[in-house]
Amino acid sequence: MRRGTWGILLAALSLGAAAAVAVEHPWSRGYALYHGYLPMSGRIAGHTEGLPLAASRCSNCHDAVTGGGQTARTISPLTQASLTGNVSRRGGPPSIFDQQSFCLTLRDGIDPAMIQVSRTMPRFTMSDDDCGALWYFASRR
Amino acid sequence: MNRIMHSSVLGILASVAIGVAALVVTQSFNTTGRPLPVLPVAKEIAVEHVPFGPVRPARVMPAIAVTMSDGGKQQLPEVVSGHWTIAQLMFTGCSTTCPVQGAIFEQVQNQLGSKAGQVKLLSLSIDPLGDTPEALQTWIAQFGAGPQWQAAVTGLDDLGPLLDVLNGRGEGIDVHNARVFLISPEGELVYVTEDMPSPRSLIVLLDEAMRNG
Repeated sequence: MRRGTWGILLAALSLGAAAAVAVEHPWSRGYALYHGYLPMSGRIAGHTEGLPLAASRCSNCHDAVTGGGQTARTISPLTQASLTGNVSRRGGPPSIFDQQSFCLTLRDGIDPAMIQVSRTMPRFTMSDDDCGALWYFASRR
Repeated sequence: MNRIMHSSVLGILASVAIGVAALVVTQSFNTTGRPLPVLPVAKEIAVEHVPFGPVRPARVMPAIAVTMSDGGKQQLPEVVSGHWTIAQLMFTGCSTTCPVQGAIFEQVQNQLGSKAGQVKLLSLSIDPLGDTPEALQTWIAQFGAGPQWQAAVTGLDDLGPLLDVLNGRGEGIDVHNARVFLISPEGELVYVTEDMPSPRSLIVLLDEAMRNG
């Protein structure tokens, strides 16, 4: 095999290995979960039927363009500032998210100030790894 | 004697007339003789949403024209008459609650079973400026809408009357609630659900409505 061919093969292997590592990185996994590229099992509280991914991905609401009447819904973006800032949410006392309270909100709809979030936000069944990855991504945006 | 009685009656009538006149005057003028100030009208109380449950008396749907997702134009009462209808408010540019509402209707459609021939699903757009028939058709198609599920949009002038009948008016033109509205075969709004009702609860609601007429 010619030297050039070996070089191309090595470069391809390196790129593949880098891609594999990147995909497994919590940020990448969190990004994919947030935008609906990886499945998340969500349902509206009280429903027995699950929601399709297209209806329950985080970006649908938390990246929604605000303006006009949408502003009235006051859906908070999921960013480092909004999650880790010591702010009042839903009329409750100031609170800060950490990974544990973030996952509690996702699974049970209870925020760090022990206030129930809107029913409109689906409740998710998630593994600790997926929830941790989503927290990693969202809390670093 | 008669003259005395006559004078007394006239006196009483005159006293009553003077009293009424005084009452009218005191309602219009204060003690200084100047007209009372006209107070500003109290701030209008926001119209509350219909609490979920039966609507009594049932409300007739407004006689407004709608453009259907197949491009046809119809009167809304015609669209909702002759069968049970469950309706929702939505718009195709909505990425927040509307996809969930669409998913709920999809699940209802899949659970209708033998009721499918007697029930129609209607997604009513609140975006007369942006939602074309093609956009509406694409929106319901993504949820696998069958022949019993249609979408429709009103003209801009008719949106207000529609929202008022449904009490679906929000703070902005593109804000709507996520309730489901049950309309009888007579074309009357008879039940309003909570926000985001479960598909199963809508099937139960339809069962009860059809059983009780």
